[in-house]
Amino acid sequence: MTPSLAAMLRRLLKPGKRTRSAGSVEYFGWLDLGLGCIILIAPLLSASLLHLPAVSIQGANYLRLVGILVAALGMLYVVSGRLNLEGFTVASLLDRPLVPLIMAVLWSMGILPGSIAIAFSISDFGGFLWTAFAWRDDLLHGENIGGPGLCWQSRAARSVELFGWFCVSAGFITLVAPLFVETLLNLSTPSIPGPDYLQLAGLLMGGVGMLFVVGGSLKTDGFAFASLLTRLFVAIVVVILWWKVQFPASLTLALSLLNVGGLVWTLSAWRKDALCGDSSGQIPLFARWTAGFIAFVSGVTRNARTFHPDGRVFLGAVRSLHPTDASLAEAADRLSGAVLMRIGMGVMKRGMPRWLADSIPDAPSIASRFFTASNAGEIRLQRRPGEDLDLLATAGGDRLWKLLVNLSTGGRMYGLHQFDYFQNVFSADMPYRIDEGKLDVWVRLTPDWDQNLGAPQNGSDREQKLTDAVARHAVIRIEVQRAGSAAEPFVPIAEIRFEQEIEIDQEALHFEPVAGRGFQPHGFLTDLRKVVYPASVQCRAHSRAQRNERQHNILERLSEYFSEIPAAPLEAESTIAISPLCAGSSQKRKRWVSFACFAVSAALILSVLYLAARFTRNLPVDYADDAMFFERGSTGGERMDGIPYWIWVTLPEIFPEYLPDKKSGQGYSVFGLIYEAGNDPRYALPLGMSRRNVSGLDVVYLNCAACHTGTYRDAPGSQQRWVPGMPAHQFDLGAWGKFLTTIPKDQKFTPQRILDQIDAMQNDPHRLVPKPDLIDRLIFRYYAVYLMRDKLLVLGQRLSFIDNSTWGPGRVDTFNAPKALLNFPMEHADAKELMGNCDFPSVWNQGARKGMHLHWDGNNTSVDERNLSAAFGTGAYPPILDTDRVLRMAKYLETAQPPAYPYPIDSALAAQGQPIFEQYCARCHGKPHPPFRRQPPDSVECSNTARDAECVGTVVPIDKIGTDPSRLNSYTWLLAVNQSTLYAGFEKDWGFDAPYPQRFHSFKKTDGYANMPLDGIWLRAPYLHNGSVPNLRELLEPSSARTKIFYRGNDVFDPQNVGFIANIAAQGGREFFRFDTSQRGNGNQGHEGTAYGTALSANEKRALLEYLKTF
Amino acid sequence: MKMRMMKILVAVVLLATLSGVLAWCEFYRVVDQPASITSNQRDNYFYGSVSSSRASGLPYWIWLAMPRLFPEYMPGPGGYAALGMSWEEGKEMPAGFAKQRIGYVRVTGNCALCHAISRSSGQDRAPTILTASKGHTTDIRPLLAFYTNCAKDPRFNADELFSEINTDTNLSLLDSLVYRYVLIPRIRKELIDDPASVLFDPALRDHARDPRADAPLSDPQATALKAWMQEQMKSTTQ
Repeated sequence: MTPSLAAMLRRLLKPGKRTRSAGSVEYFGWLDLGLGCIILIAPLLSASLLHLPAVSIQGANYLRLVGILVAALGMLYVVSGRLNLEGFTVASLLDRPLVPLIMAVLWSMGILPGSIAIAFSISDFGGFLWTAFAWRDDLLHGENIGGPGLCWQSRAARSVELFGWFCVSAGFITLVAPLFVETLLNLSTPSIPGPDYLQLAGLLMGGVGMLFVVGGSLKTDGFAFASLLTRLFVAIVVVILWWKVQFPASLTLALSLLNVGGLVWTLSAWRKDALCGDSSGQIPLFARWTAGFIAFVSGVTRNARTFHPDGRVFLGAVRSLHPTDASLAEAADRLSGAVLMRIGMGVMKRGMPRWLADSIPDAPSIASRFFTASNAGEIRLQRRPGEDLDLLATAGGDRLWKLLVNLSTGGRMYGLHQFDYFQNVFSADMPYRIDEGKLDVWVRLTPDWDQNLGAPQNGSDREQKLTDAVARHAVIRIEVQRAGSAAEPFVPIAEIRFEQEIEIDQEALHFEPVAGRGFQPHGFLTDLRKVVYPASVQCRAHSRAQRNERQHNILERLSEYFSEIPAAPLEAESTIAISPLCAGSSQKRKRWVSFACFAVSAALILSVLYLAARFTRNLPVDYADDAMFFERGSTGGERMDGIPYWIWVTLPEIFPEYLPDKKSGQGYSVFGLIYEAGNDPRYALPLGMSRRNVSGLDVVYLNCAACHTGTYRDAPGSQQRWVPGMPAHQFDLGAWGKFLTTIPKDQKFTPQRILDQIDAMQNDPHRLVPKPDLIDRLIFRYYAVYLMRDKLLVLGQRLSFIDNSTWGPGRVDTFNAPKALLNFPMEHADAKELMGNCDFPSVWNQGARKGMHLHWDGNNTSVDERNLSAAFGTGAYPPILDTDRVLRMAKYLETAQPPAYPYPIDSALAAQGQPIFEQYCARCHGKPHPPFRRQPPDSVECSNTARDAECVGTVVPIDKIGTDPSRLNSYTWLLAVNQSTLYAGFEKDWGFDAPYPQRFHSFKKTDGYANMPLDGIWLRAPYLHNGSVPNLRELLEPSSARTKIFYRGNDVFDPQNVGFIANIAAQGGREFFRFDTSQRGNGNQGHEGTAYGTALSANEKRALLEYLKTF
Repeated sequence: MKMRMMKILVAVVLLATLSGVLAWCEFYRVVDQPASITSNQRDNYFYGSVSSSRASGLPYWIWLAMPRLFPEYMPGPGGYAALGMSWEEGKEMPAGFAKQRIGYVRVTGNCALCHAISRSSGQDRAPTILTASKGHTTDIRPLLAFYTNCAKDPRFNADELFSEINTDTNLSLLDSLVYRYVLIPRIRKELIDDPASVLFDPALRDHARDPRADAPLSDPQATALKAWMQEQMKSTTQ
């Protein structure tokens, strides 16, 4: 019957009479509890007392964890001791002697400092000895005989046992893999090397677990209560620690969840026990596993019994010796009748390795079944429950532990005679209760030993002597001793007389050492036997024939083992009483509960499927036309840097004050991004933006065309025309970047403000994507806005060494961006590399550029690498690169052509210009149209000095070309070698089999600027790599005659000078970028002198200019 | 009943085998370095792994991510090159590092980590790499100190490292679990304890501590490399 919690509490406060061992357990518990509290309260003090090495903050927390567990152990001991829980005393006797062993191992492996190991070993082993001696005292006073029995568990006990197994596993994992646990719990590891107290905590946790397992397995009424108190204690202490001393939150959460969870579990099990009867019909897992193990050994590995194996079988007769004591006399009477005996060796050695078998002495044993024969000579192969008594007795020790010690040390103790059945005393090793359960006795069998018959010295003599003894009807006496004192005499109560030896199928004969004929064995081992024996019987062969058949077929034995239904334990309580209260409620609830379960799980599965489909979505918007695809298609970069469409459209509306013209309602057009005529710039995407649905969210980001699609127009206000592949001379990437990296610092950048703006805009018919649904809004509110803010702030911080306000439209600092990508510590960089502003280039005719030195300084000869390097700017990092789509764009660019010059050309004048071009320009700039040269260059600089050599695509040293060196200096060999790690892992050598992409290996530092082909040169103003010369006409003038200050960003074409109008500061509401050639990186010198045509006559220059329009 | 238990047995055996094979693949499978490295003695010297399989090695992606994640412990821009390591243009890693798959792809140190020099033809020009001349040993203490600093930094954790690694590669689920729960915590501890033991196998490490301990050179591969190196030294000093 399950007691109430209040009753338990009363028992705890006013303990009744206790055994000495329980008392020792309680006092040891107080000691542990105090120790634990000291560690808890003053971990650093305890550390210094124990002379531990320096303890970090985390180390102190681990010490506290150790303190909690020590205190918890102490508490278990105190409560159990006070409640006089015999089972717990046993558990503690099993637990504590292990501590010194484990401590020694931990110490020798350098995991724990010696002081701690010694302290724990002394306290635990001392406590063990204390309790062990108290236990012995108890035994001498007739208490704790046989120890506590195993229980047919109550639900509460089972929950405690399972919880214990969990703790044991968790403790074990912590002990062997502390780093794994630290990572799992997200704990920061101490950054100083030192002892790992987490492992100690794991060990203690395992110890607590073991106590729980044993406590939950044994018949210890009240241990569940002790466990409840302990878990409550741990949970409370952990929370207090977290609150007061920054105990790690994850550890707090894990420990408190574990303990509160366990607490609730055991409490509800307890309640159910009280309600529905206190047996769950379960046997402890520990007993079940033991049974499984023994059954495996007997059934599979040996195909034979393990204990009391084959022997010779005899029939005998029992008669009472009429002892004077009344209760003994009655027991003796009950034994009278027939007896079936199997006499052989106690431990089966067959199947053992020979060396092991030789080192273990034989232990003669007698298994006997006392029964009343219904007819003379009856052989009782099956025990009749309750009526027959099976008594198993072995020579070599009167307690099991003595026997085990004796056998493992050579069998020289306790009068063991291996080769003579008759010189031995056979002990039953289990305490028996007789006289209606009133009297505890120990039972033994003593053969009548005749000294004159000699002492056999080997196995066959031994058997011969037995045969002789049967022939003369020798006698074995049954003697009992009152339990409680070794001084009590053994009283012979009955004697067995050998009748005859018989032959039977021994596999059919099983002894079951349980109660019968008024003798009740009890205690832990007896209960364990009740579980082990039937399981073992079931897994073994049931007849001799079967055994022979299985002998050489381990597979069959295995399959038998796994197919046998686990046997019910002997004498188990067969039925579980279910109170009407329990039965009724569970039945009534059944129907609607199962319907609800079905509905809930169906809904769950459907929503999981939907969410899985939604969140794995990855759908870019595609276009059939190649040019259109180049302008709006995806490189895959939206997956890294993408901005949700709905946030993108709201930003200019929310933050107009950060726009250059401070005007909302124009989208991003103020930055020079191109909107098709007739589209509402508030909702449409400009050219150079791609869109992709990623995880159910429509996100947008720049693609190649943002910087490589430019515009021109005939006159202010006339139709704007855009050209794919043309430098986006009107797009101010720097200002756009500044806008994006500045707004997250504004206090308006909140989910609420952005959602409000979305609400205001989402119903407009011009929107490109549907209104955000509930999930989208939840993402915006709780995730996307914050994520975007973090990313933009980090990006802004990484790029902060680049001054993007100096770029102006059409320019970018190309190679300082990868330094930011590689997170170089630029605060230590040489100042001269910090600026590398240069123009966006045109990207037509890439096929004809293969093998040429690409980029302004010619640092790479691979078009593919150049493309992928640029694609980083669109967010296309290696893992998310959309290979197929980037290849499609690259393929388009291979043959993409600049448009023909749309304004009138004086062809006669142009014809005059052609020879001038060929004389002055063609050597370096190649042919006007592809192929620009016959084959790719074979060296970085043009080594061929011939006049008609092909030098386009090679590098001209800086001292020769003389243009502004900033862009050259910004690219360093340190960057070049680090770029060789980009796309690492994408190499054939390392198992990546696609031809594209591949790890970068072509980046090299050069010493000058590369000669470019001049295709579409009329659209590539301003000129030189840094865009410091506003038009072609001026490029043919010496730098002294070139404009010092001009304006960039105007796309009105100037056919007179071939370039864009550059002398107007503002037009149509847009302010242009003031370009000062005296500023750093903006120098317009170089590319001048006779060889560069700046000394030509005015007419020659006009002719050359006219000819260049035809490119 | 019989069939069911047999099925369970088979499933257990299969599962055990599968996880065994997986564990072997993830931690122990040795794949030779690609022929592009092993086929010529020069690359073998600068980039080949020298019996270093007994060193645990740095998991490749941690090796790659560290300079990018911890620039504050770098003396200047340039990744590993900033620590004074010899790095050729176009090569994935500086001379002295060997990349090999033993279970996971790992980076260990070889002879060239200490015995290589770089010669530059001018400021801002990429250097040429040569075997060390007589009496020259590269000081790798800055490298080791860098690793220790990284490991001691609270940001040396899976979340931070993955924020970098995820911009470089797509680790499989299994690999990322192995990185998160095994490699990163383990390598952190090892780097704090002794970074040299991560990079070098014990024999090489002894040699680094006491140059007269020539234990690693008893290995035939190492002997061949030593001979090659001495030949190179002769030709460079002449």
